[in-house]
Amino acid sequence: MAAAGSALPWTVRLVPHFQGQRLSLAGIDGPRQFTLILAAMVAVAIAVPLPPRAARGQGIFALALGGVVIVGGNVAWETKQGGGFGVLGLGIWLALGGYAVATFSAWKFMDVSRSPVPVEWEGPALLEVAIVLATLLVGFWAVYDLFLFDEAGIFLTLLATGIVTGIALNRVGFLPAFATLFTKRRWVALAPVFVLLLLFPLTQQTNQYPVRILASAALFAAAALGLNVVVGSAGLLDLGYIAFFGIGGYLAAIFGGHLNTVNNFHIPFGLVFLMSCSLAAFAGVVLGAPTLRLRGDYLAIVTLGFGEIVRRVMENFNLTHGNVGVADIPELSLGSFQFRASHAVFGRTISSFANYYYLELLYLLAIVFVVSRVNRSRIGRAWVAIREDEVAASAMGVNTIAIKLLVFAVGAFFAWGAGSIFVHLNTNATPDSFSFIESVTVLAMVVLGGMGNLGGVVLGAVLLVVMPEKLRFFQEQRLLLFGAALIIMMRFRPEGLIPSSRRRREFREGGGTAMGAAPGGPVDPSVAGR
Amino acid sequence: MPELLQQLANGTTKGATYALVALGYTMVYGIIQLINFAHGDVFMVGAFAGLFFITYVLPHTGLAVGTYAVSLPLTFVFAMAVCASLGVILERFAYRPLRNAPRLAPLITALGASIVLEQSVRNFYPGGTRQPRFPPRGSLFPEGFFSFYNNRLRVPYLWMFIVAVAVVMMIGLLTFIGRTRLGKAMRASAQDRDAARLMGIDIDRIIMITFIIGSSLAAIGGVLTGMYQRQVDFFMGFGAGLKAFTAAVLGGIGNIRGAMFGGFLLGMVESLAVAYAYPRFMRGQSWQDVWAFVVLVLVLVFRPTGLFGERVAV
Repeated sequence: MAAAGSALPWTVRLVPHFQGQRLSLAGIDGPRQFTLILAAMVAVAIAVPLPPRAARGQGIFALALGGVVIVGGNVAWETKQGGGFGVLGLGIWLALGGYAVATFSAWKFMDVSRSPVPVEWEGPALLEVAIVLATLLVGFWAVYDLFLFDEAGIFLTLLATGIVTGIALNRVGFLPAFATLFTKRRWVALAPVFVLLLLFPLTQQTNQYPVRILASAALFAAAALGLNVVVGSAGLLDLGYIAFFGIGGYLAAIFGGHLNTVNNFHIPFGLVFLMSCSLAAFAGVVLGAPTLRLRGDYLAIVTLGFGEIVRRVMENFNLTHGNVGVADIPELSLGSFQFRASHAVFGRTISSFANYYYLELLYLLAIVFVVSRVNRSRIGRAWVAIREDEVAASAMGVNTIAIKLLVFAVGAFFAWGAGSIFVHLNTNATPDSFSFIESVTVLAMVVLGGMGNLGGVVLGAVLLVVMPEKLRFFQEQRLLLFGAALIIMMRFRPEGLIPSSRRRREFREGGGTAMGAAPGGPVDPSVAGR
Repeated sequence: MPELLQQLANGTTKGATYALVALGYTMVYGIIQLINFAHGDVFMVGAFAGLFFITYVLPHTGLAVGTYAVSLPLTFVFAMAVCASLGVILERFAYRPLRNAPRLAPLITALGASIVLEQSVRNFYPGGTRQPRFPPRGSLFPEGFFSFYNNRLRVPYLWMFIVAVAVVMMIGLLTFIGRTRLGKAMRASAQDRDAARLMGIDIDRIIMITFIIGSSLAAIGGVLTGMYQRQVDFFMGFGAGLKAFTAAVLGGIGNIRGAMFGGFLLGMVESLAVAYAYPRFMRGQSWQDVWAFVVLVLVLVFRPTGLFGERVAV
């Protein structure tokens, strides 16, 4: 401990030396600021008396290792850009060394094996609200910056800093406390988020690209919420879910006025939407019915097969124009409201993308409302019962067949609606948009965010839509990173970023029930003990 | 008649490769009840490893063009070594840590591993973004065919070679599992993992050997497929994997003989559907995969335990 204490401030004092060095990305001192903040946090973690049982060593370890990674990344970047180690200044080496020493000493001299103990804290109501709002403010600042930054290097650094801070807070035991606080003050937390989401397009007057990204994030969030009902609530693993999204899209494309298909035959979107949704529920039942007897892995494969069949049919069928897909789908219009045009509100323009964005926000809200109500109803409990133990549920009088069909219908319904907006937003529909990898992506949204938790799923969707856009820098390696992220996620945080409490217990106790009981074998003590 | 026989011969050839890949699925499933989604991509890596050996290593060995008897086995051995190591890495770092987690976790890990393998090949194999070609016919294997019915039925030597290799491998596998001590341990582990552990069988080692064998067979399947189609594609593992899985399910997953039979059956069904399917517009190569998946769905819906029942070791 003492050695670590003496080693660490040394690092911190060195960091300011950076200011004069030529080491940052394209002359922007962003990374330096973040490493500075990180170093400050290491110092705070050492100096401030934490709750006695907190895993302080782990926190420091996480922060310092994050520092090594960030500075190391900068070293790699600068070396590549500048053509050799010569361009590197003294500061970057000092920072790298400092963080390395900190990492090493935290690992060596502090108890990193101790498992974190959640901090339990309850304060006066006003203070709690203030803390929630302050956290949100910091969060907004970080997210807003992250979202609008176009410099890949800065984005990565900021992202890494955020992740490391999160891990450290979790290890020290603060994150669970925040989670409880936010659950308790749910409305205080949600209201500002919602207001900001509403206002966001108004702040984007010149560049519509961010609004476009958010619009497609909202769509995928809607689809992910539908899948969450199927996988998260009822535990029916569906790997061909994007097929519903796709069929919905194609139907909207064909009936919604694709000019070449049916001789300028055009049905108003409202009607198409309603028609589609009832068709969707029907299709969900039709595709779901044969799979009723199957469980777990088999179900996953059959749905995968369905998804592939649907895509191949799209590729080969005349009406869908094969690989080319349906193009030139007119933009939406509801009544006299044209989605293509911009509208002025309070002296601010609302662009075409913003129109879609608001429509989707509305759709998303409706879904969240319905799902959260249903989850707490008799039907929702029946879903969970089926997931936990189908035989027992059936014995308790749950009509498993009807409930499962309902699950498929609901999931298909949501995806279908999202799909039909999707094609209008994109103004085309191609089989490629509905391939297996998209199914996996939607599943990853559910799993990444936290299965069964609506907020988590929406967060997962936003992350998985926004991240690829921000990581255009890694254009070629994007999917590679995605796959690696899936593996790492399952290894270290299988319950997702914001798990529902029930889910978390299932994953942490091992031998779980999430997808039917784990195959034989005693519970691994190392898993159970965490 | 010649046309029917032609389709059957074609189907048998494809079926042989499906069966080789299906064995890996079925063996892994039999022992740890995991659908190893990445297995199809191990197969793909096998094909690429073979191609790599043929294009970049063989020219430097001084072997004259046409010395099939030496160069082909070398290619197979190289591809098998690459895939076996890959299987071990996958098992050790992706699946073993999750062995007692809920079923969803290893499944998603497998999906992730599958994407990683595909994208690694795409990004790092020279020319991987396009579809690299295998050497032309004849340079790798003697060209030529048996012909019957006045040349209306042609069976290339290569097809016979593919089927022969597959059959030899299968006989070898059956002998290994049925006759050796290690094979006995594998059967025991598939039957009851805990009891096997209590009897002193090192389960971790058995699982690893299962992965090694499965991946090696997939590697052979990959090289054979590459020779058959004469071009490879980083995405070929997905479809092939799904078909091999179909074959495994067709024969009853966990059942090794079932997987062999299922592979051949699926290959033939596919070939016949391409030629004789009804409705007519669903004939032709582009519908081939659809029929494979239709078979998959039908089998799972009507006889999920497969034609021979599941989890009968050997």
